[in-house]
Amino acid sequence: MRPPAPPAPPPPGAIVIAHPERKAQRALHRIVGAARWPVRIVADLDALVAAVDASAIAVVDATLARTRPEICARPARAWIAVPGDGGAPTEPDTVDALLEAGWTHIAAHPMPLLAEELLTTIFKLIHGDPFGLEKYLAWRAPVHACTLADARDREPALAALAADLAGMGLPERASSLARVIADELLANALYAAPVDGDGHRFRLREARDQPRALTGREAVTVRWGTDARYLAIEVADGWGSLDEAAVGGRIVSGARAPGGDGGMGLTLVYACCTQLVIGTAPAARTELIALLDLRYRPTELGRSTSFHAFRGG
Amino acid sequence: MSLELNIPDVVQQGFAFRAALDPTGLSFQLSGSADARATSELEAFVRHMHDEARRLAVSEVVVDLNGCKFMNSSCFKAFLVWLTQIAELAPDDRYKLRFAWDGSSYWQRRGLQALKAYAVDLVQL
Repeated sequence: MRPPAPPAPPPPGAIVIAHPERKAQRALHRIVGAARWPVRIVADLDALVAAVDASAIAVVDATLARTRPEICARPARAWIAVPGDGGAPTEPDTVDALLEAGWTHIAAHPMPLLAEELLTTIFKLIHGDPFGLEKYLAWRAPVHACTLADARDREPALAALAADLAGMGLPERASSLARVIADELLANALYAAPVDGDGHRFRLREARDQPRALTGREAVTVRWGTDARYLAIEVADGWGSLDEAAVGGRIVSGARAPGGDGGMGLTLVYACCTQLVIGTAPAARTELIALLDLRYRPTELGRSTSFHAFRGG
Repeated sequence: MSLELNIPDVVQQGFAFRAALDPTGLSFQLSGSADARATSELEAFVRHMHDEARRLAVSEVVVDLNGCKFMNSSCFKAFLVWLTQIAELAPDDRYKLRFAWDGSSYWQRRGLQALKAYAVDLVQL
């Protein structure tokens, strides 16, 4: 029998794990080893900084990361914060501190969610492919797509989402959360994403009941799918105007502007979901994916939400 | 059953949570900035409010946001969890949250609309 062909070699790089606990080191090694990249394990941040270069992915204990959050500005393919203790989620104040410091990858949930989330994140980073909700769902999970023809199609799109989810037997609370999330993401794509040549967001003050044909760059698509683990909701626009590196800070502190939106839409989405994933190709595409974990009730998952922001070409 | 309220006020730099029970019912007043420093306190306070609302068998709790300047996503999530806990009660045991809010605050309007959409039968604006 001919031996199986080896998988295609991944792009050059390495994964460096920084975690003080041996048990967590082994668990993380087991997860990221599936990427078939060289893995190095270190116990502290000095060793991590010495080992990470621009091609590396750093996987760091969130509690450790919080002691020097500014390290995420150092050159690397990505800095990913992971829960400090195998059985507990990352504490919300740690998540907030890391978001404020500019971390763009924070895995907040412990095993088994961590394995799914971390590996998908690393595959996306290695292969430079930031888009598509399919990466979070089981193979062949049906995906429903709805392209809005007019800005006033927002409500019909939400009704289609609600009807589809009800038909699949999803719990009422999950459907309600999905509707809140989709509504906020659509409002963001329709009114906050469009920018003129000076970067001015010229549709922010537009009346929400005003008709507008959505063609060319104005096209907005909402897609959703579920595999009984996750419900994934994706909204994409053709502007690519979202500064993905700044979103985390806005979620934590951005809704203070008196009388203004100040980023409340994404704050609400982040509050409602289990994992928020942003993909951008500057001046070409912004895609936001909100994942709801259907295996847990909102009261069981704690209050931490994972956050990942990717930039593509 | 004691009709006295068993929730101490939380007053810290930057935010305050106060509960009150009077002949008109049970109420919860938030003031200041519900940001990362307030998250744990708010979660605990909301749990106490839920326990007291059940013990007193009230039909609604008034949540006064008029003095609330800001709410981050973690604090907003505390309200989502609260509503989920109410929804999980037997229908006869459920109570409503009636929000008093600042009509000039855009973030409050957006946030409360989202809460209403999440639990249309449990939220009154």
